[in-house]
Amino acid sequence: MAMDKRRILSYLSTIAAMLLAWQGASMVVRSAALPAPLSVMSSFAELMRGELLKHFLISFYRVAVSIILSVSLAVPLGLVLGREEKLDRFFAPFIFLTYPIPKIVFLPVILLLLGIGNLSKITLIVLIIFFQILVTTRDAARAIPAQSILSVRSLGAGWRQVYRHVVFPACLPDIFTALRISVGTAIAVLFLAESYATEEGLGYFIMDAWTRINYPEMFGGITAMALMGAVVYEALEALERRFCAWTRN
Amino acid sequence: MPFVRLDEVSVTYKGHGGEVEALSSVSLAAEKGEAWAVIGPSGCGKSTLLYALAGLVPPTTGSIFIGGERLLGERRETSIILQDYGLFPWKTVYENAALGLKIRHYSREEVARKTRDILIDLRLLDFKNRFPSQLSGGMRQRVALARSLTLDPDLLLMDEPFSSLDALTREELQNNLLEVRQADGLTTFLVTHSIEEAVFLGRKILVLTSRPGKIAEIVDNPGMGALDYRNRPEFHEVCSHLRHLLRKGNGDG
Repeated sequence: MAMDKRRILSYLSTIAAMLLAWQGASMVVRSAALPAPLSVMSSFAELMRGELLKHFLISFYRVAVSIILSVSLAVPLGLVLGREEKLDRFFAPFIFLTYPIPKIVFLPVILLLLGIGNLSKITLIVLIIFFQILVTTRDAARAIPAQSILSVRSLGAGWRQVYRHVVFPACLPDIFTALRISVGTAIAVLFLAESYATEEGLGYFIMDAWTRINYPEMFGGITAMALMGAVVYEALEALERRFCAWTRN
Repeated sequence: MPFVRLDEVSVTYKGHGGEVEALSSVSLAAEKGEAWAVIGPSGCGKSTLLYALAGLVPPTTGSIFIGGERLLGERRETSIILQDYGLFPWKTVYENAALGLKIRHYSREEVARKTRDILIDLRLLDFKNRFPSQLSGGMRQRVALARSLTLDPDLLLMDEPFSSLDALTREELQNNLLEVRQADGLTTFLVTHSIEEAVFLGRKILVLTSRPGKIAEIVDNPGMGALDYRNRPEFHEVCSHLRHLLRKGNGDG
C-alpha cells in the first residue's frame, strides 16, 4: 500500500512539473498553437464527457486487442524458435528478412484489403509489434543455460513441462520489457493509421481538431493519448509485479 | 548383484572442432546404499559421468545398469542436484521443493504433505515463501536437497553441490547429507573437486585422469561415515593419498 501511495505521489509531482514547464513555454511562445495547460485541461475535462471519450475508448480497444494478439502469436513462436535449433535455422532467415521492412508501407495495401475499420488498424499494429516481441522472446529463450533444462528434465519433465516450468518463466521478464517498448510503438503506429481514411479514434480526433485550428481540442486529444499510454503501462506494471515477483526483492 | 554397474562406458561429444572424448571406458560396480565420490582434474568428465548415470546423456559405447536394468533414459528413482542452476529463481522455496512431485503428477494433498515433511526436516519451512535470491547459499543448497529428497530417490547424484559455499556452511551441509544418507540407505554419487569433501562423503572414491576421463584408481575409504571423521588420522592419510594420485594424473608428480 505504501508503494501505491508513493507511485501516486510521483505521478502527481511529475504532472505538476510538466504543467509548470508547459505553462512557461506557452507564456514564452505566446501562440494559439500552444495553449496554456489550464485551458487545455478544462477543454479536456469537458470533451471527455462528450465525444472524446468515444474516440479514447475506440483507440484503447485497438491498442489492447493488438497487444494481446501480438503476444499470443509472438511469445509461443519466439519460445519455440529460441529452443528448437532446427526450426530456428529454417525460420530465422525469414525473420531477418522481414523484420527490418518498415511495415507502415503496407498501410495502403492493408486499407485496400481489410477496409477502413478496426481490422486494418489492428493488423498494421500487430504486424509491427509482433516482430519486436518475437525477436526479444527468441533471444531470451536461447540464452537459458542448458543446465536449467537438464535440471527440470532430471525431475522427469516432458517437453510441455520444460516450457511451462522453465522456458516461459525464464523469458517472462524479457517479454515484459519487449511489451513496454511495443506499447510506445503501438500507440505511435495507431496514431498514423487513424489519421487516414477514418472518423474514429484519437488519431482522427487530433488531426481533425488540427485542421479546424482548434488547439485546445487538439491538445485535449494529445492528453487523452498520454493518458492511454499511462493506463497500459500501469496495467503491464501490475501484471509484472504479479507474475515476476522474483525479479524484485 | 551391484546396484549400479558401468561396463566400459565411453561418452563422446560432438564439439565445434570435431569430436571430443569426455569419458573413456569407465567400469565400476556400486552396492546399494554405498556412497561414492568422484574426483579428478577439471575437464576430466566428472559431470559427464554424472549426466550419464542420470540418463541425461547416453553412453556412446558401453552400457549402464541400475537396479539390474539397463539404463535407457531418465529414471524415476534417480535424483540429481546440480551446482548452480538447480533451483529456479522464479519459484519460491516451496514451489521449488514441490516441483518434482508436481511434474510426476502426485495428488495435490500428497505434494503438500511430502513437501512439508521434507521442509521441516531440513529446517526450511519458515522460508517457504521466499525466492532463492532471498536465501543464503547454504539454504539454497538445502532447498535443492529438499527437492531431490521429496521424490524418495534410491540414487542421488550430486554435481559439486557445495562448491560455492563458505567452509563452515559447507561442513554443515556435508553433515546434513551424511545424516540423510544414513537414515534412508541412499546410494549416492558426489562429484567434487575438493579432496576433503571426497574423503568425508565417499566410501569409495573414484579418481579420474584428465581428458579423456579414465579411471586412475578407485580408493577404498572404510573410515567414512562418522561425523568426527575429519579429525581422525585415517582421514588425513586418505587425503594425502588422493592428493598424490591427482598430482600424478596432472603429470607433475
